[in-house]
Amino acid sequence: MGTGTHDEAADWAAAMAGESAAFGRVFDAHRDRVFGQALRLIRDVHDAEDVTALVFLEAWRKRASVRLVDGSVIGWLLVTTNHVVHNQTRSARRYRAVLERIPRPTARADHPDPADAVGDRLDQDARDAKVRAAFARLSEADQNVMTLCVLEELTMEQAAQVLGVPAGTVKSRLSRAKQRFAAHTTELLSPIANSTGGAK
Amino acid sequence: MNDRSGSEMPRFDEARSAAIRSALIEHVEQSPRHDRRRQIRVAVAAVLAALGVGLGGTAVAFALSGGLVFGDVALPAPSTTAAVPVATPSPTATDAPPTPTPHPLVVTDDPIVPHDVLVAPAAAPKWSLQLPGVVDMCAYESVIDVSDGYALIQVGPNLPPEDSAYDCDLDASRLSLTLVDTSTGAPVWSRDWSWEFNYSESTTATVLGTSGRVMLWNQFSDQSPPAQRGPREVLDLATGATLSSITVPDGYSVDRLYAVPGDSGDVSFVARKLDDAGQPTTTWAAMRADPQSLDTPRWSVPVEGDQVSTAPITNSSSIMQVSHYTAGQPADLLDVYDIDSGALMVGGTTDRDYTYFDGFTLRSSGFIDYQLYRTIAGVDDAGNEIWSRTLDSGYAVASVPLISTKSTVIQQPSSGLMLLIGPGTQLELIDGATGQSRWTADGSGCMNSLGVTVPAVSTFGWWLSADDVIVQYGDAGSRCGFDHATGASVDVSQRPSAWVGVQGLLAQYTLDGALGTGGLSSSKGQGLPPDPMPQSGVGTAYDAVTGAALWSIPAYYDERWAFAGGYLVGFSQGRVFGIG
Repeated sequence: MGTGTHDEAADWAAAMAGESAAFGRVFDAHRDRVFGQALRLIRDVHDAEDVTALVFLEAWRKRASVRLVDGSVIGWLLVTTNHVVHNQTRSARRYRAVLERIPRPTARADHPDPADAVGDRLDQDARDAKVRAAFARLSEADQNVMTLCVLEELTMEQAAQVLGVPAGTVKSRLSRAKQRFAAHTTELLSPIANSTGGAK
Repeated sequence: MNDRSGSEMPRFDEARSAAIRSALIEHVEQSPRHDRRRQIRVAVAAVLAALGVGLGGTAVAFALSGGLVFGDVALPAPSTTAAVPVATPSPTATDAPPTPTPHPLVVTDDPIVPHDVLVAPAAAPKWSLQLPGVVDMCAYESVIDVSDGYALIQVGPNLPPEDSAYDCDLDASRLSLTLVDTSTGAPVWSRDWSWEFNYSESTTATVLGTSGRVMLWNQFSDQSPPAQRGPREVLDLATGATLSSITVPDGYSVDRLYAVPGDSGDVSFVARKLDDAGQPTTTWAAMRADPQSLDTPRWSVPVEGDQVSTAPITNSSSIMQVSHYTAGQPADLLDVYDIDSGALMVGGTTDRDYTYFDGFTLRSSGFIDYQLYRTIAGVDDAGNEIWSRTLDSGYAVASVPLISTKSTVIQQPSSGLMLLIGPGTQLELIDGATGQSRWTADGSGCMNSLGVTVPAVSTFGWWLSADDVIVQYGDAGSRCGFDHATGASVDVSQRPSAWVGVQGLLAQYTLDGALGTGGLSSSKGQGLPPDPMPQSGVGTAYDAVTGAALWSIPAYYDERWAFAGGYLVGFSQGRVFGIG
């Protein structure tokens, strides 16, 4: 389930021991998948880049509890991406000092207006946008199980290891998450669909 | 929602990627100091595993076998400390030995896990330090945990004891603060203040999250004449230097300031508008500000009411609750603001209440009776509902904190779990972040609620112990216990009460014949303490699981113990000293 050919388990062990270059290699290996997962949930490419940074900062902070599955940290990173997106403000506060050192985005020829450009590229038609919105409506727990089992095609056993729950729990969660996703999708694709705010 | 591949997909800005990669590597390279400290603790525990064979206590055995767990909660490895025998017999005999090996002062939101003392310490303290500002028995010491190995010791403000005939020196209000490396006894810095005596004085130091700053503030100071106001300052935690005074905005009165968790160093509070004559009005403002510049808040929103109050946020939630009441209203109204922006999230509700837990926030609604709510819900830091439960007869909720762990930042490090009580005596353990049920059990053998008919089982006294048992402690001992993983009943009858004495992870420490336990301040009308102070009491450590006595040492007539920065310390005769 890794995204590269490097010896990720060895790199992770070295990173845990404080070898910064090894942590850099883990970043290189998984940057794009984390970035892609962030883009599923937020439309701004630069916010997704910031989320990517936050995910790896969280990986370092919580390194003692990161679960490797089949020698890879990617499942943990993807679940953490969902969490960071849900808690982006707080996560950004925690690492404000680090984020301030990252240069501000500059306009680029390939998408001069990041939000609009990404929106256009991700959602080539209205249906895509609504399906994406339906996914965003799911709870973080539902997003996690959908991310791992549907989008990233992990087995239920692998997802169970990432989430730290029994495989049977993953199965039941996935079933319910699919039902809720279908309900949201149906509602949003309906001509009379309304948007609602989150429950506070 | 399949992603499109190829050139149409947005790409990571390579310049920003390189900057992020560089920042990550730098971040990793700057971190190992803290990590090494953790590794050292693990190593100490391993060494003690070799030394401790034969101690026999179950809690001790758990620690030494590596079987010590808090469910699936990630914690730093618990540490034990073996005291080295020293011949000198009195805490007043020596000052801190010149052996400080400074370790980094790092304030984080990690729990501070106690370094239990499982083998008998020497009769003489490991280190001893005279505290400034102790001129008589009317100065009181308190511990403010900072991080693993560091604590602020506050002495004062001095006040006459309520139940003693002792004649205090009340010529001035006095307060001192000393930052101590409690692993070695080395003082890092010490400051003291004095001002015109004030009977309502309650100046207290507060660590401002992980900002590296400390605030000195008295919630009643605005009601005192200026000469009787104690220090209102922001200090640099590392040096003790005053960074700024705290100035209340013109035309307002402020009582409580609550530290906002995180590294901002900000406070949340409500300020009451005063009229031209300086009298209170019904116009208030809820604010978030740096205490160094309260008059330029990050945000401020007006609130009307005869009484307005807010509650401290004690986890990472952005939910700030502001209650307001105006005569004639049937009940308080609650507004909920986003602590980051001041945006109103919910206005004027009467049907909800938020409780901050470590890792999640609980929203209760449908109040039925004492502690009973019809609906409870877990909400994330942004206030979005994650899960909810409804029970017509109502749920009561008991938090299940990690036994004896502390935090500088959050109120009580938690297991991430909570117990739902109801219907009847049913206990259900659920994961607070997801609402997922772990197990149900019958709690009829546990402590009943006191004085009221609901809930059927008391919500007080629950902890997750080091050997992975959820225990309810009563005054005299443990009342009931359940296996954390399965909910199966566990015999906890031998466990000493966590309420009596000082709570450790693996041991419980009690004093007898010392402060409040038969020594000083044990009866009204007590006069001048004996001079010299007799060593008439005894301090004992008990295994937290078996209740077996592990060791005992003599204790002074006025002695009391506490964990400070994770290390067991004692106080007597104006000194603080290391026990193990």
